[in-house]
Order: sequence, then structure tokens, then C-alpha cells
Amino acid sequence: MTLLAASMCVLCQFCLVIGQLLLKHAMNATRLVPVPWAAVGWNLAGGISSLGLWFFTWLGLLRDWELSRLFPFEGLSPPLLALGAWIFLGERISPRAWAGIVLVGCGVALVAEG
Amino acid sequence: MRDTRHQAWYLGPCFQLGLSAVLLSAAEVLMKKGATASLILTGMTPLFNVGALTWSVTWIGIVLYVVSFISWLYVLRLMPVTQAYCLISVVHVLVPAAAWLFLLESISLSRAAGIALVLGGTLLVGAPTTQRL
Repeated sequence: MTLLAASMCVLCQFCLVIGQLLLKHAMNATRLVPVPWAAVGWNLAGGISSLGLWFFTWLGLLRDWELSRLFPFEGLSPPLLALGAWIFLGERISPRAWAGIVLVGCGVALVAEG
Repeated sequence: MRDTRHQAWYLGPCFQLGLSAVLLSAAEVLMKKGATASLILTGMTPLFNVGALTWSVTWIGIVLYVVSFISWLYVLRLMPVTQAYCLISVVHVLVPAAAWLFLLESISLSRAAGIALVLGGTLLVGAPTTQRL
């Protein structure tokens, strides 16, 4: 697998995670009183754009690469979320989760190489 | 977990979770077929494969993807997210198996080992990340 394709796969997962987080923020904001509709709208627009970018990039990758080689990259989403929460929200990652992140990274590298 | 004794079998969390996994696998296979079929169309965008949307299999894949997501959300209402997330990890085996079976992709030993590592790692990372979504 080329470095560009592997990078696109990682980018795809970033877009997926960012999209999900923005949609979650938008949904959370609808529970506030009064509802901050501008923030909801921006988060929704950002989430949908991010997921759209993920989807069409994924379709582009699917055209050129085998599904069984691409799909393991989907496993990067949970570690990316955990790392994002650690970096941006200061949330603690348990040793078990760190082990999982390392395993997913090794697995994805093995699939991309093989 | 909620009391599901009086529910119809198809509304049970285990059936819905299995359904979600199978639909997701089918969706990925169909989108792969649509994405590959778009190679026939020359002059389409090289990076973002918009051409795949001109094939009905892609749209069937998208519909299955959405139905799978709805089924997943339903499961989350009935089952602890930790348990649900660990069980849905089966897609990391189902999708490559479907690719081998229906797309005739060969899976080398190193790829199989990588898939096993991803599956194990996903199970370990598990719930802490998904609980926030």
C-alpha cells in the first residue's frame, strides 16, 4: 500500500471521528434552554461536511484498494477518539486502552504492509 | 440491560446487533462493488469517487449502512455500551470474510494477523471512547 493511500485512510478516520463529535455536540446543544441554534447549525454543518468528506474519500479508496486491506483502518476510530479526548479534554487513558491503541496501530501497519 | 422477556425475537438486542453487523458487512461489500464499477467511467474525479453514486449497488450499500446504524442505535438503548461495542467488533472479522467470499479477495497470513491485532486492540480500547459518543 502506498504512503499516500495509507495517509488517506488515516485522514478518513479523522474525518469520521470529527464528524461524529460535531454531531454529538450539536445534539447535546439542542437540550439547552434556550437552544443556541447558531451553534447547533454550525456543528451540524461541520459534522455533515466532515462525514461527507469521509464518505467520498472512502469511496475513492475502495475503488483502488481491496476491502479486506482498507477495513482494518476503521479500527483506528476508537484509539483516535481516546487520543483526542486525552489531548483536548485531558481525559485519562487507562493502561488497558493504551495497550489497545498499540495493538490497533501494529495491526493496521501489518495490514498496510502485507 | 432492559427486561426483554416479552419482546418479539427480532426486537431483541442480540438479534439486532447481529443484524447491524451483517448489514454493515453487506454495505461495505456493495459500496466496494459500486466504487470499483465506477472505474468504467473515465474522466470522473480521481480522488473523491463521486462516480460511484451513478451505480445502484452503491445506493443499496448506503441504505444498508443507514439501516445498520439505526439498528446499532436501537441496540445501544437496550444493551450496555461496553458489551455492545465489544460484540460489534465482530465486523472486523465479518467484513474481510465477506470480501474473501464475495469479492474473491485473497487474505495473506500477515493481513489476517493484522486483522486479528486490530480486533484485539479494538476490544481493549473498548468502551471508554464510545461512551462519549
